[in-house]
Amino acid sequence: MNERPTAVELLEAVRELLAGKVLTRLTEPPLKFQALVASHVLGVLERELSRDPAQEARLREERERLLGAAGDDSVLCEAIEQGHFDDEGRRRALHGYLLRRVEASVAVWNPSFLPRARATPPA
Amino acid sequence: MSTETVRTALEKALGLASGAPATVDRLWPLAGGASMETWAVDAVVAGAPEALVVRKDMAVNMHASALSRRDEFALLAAAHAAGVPCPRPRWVLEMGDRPAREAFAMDRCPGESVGRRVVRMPELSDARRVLAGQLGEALAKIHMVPLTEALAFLPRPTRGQTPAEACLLELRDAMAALKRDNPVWAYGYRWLQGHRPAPTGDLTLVHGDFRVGNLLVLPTGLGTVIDWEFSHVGDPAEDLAWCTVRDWRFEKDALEVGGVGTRAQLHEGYHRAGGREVDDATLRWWEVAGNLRWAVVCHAQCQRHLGGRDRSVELASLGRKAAEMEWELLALIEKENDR
Repeated sequence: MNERPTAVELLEAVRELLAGKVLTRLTEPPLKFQALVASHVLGVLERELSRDPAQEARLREERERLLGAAGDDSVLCEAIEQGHFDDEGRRRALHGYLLRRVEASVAVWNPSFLPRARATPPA
Repeated sequence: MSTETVRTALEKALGLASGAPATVDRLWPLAGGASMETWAVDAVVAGAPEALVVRKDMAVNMHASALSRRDEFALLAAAHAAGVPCPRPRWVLEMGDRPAREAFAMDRCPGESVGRRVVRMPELSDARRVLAGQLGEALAKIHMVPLTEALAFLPRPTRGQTPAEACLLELRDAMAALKRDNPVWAYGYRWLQGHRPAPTGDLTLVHGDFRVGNLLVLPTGLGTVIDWEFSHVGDPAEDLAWCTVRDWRFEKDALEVGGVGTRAQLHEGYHRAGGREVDDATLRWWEVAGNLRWAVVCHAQCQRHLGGRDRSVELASLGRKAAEMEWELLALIEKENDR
């Protein structure tokens, strides 16, 4: 669907209202904090809807390559628990996949996290 | 419960507990953690003005492993007597609810607790220079609190089980209860299982949630350590590692101890105050475990919303925030494998 405004544009409009006029008029600290979280969550939705649709497909294919067959997360979890990725080469492949996946999620959740965390890796 | 009802119940309970007349002049709710109500109370007990905090169990207790108020009172009494900077507990209170719920009163201590403010407020810049070392000193004292019979209620590893094994079992149960099928958790758990620290037999009191955010910070430095509900008997390395978990740096990531100081400052303070030697690899194991635990707890908090018990956009959003701890978990494991 190419309807305008797009879902992202509508979310953006609500977020601007919340983060602007509504938030400045709220005085009660707990409510103000909840509204701040809510405006952040709208930003999360904007980023999630703007994601490259091919990314999810690529991650799914990568999971299938790791498993050597079609399978969902519960199959992958079971394979990990049974030690199928204990071998160093297999572990590295799994680690790379999990990192790509987590980085995709965290970029949607909070775009400021990765630059900050990468600049200060574990010592 | 309305403020007036609480006031009446409190006056009666304070009178009973102190054996003297008690009036409550002022009371207001404080943000008190997930499993209890917390009130700030200005009272007059036996003619003397008292600034108090009252903690009271909620009808539904969220965390099976959290201490009851009566036990938290006994723990604070032991810690305070051992010289740990913590609020002095005053009275266990019978609030007359049906069914009866426990409460206790402690001295209200000054200071800033909110982590984002502790790492940023200009008024606390002097405090931040010394805070990491003071955290080390406070931890050394906590880890030296005698584990007497009076603290027999504290959760602890079962016979023949190390603290790391007890932690893994708790994690496994928490993950199973959530039914999330998260491969990052499975991978992290597998790594933790394969790298368990060798048992040292060294069991101490562990605060269990020792970090910026659970401290009252004064312009001069650490005031008191608060929020003792997750205390248990375990490995002292757990507390030393938990306060370095990235999320407790409140976006001041370069300062690895709570966004205020360095690991070197923390350990220097710890040893200065008589803390024992702690193995580096053991500390790193607990840091990995801490990140996995916080990721799982974020989903448990999110589940309170999804399950309909506490509808809240804040709780819901924590389920997405868990990805931050998952990233850190992977970064820490990668670093370990490069060693």
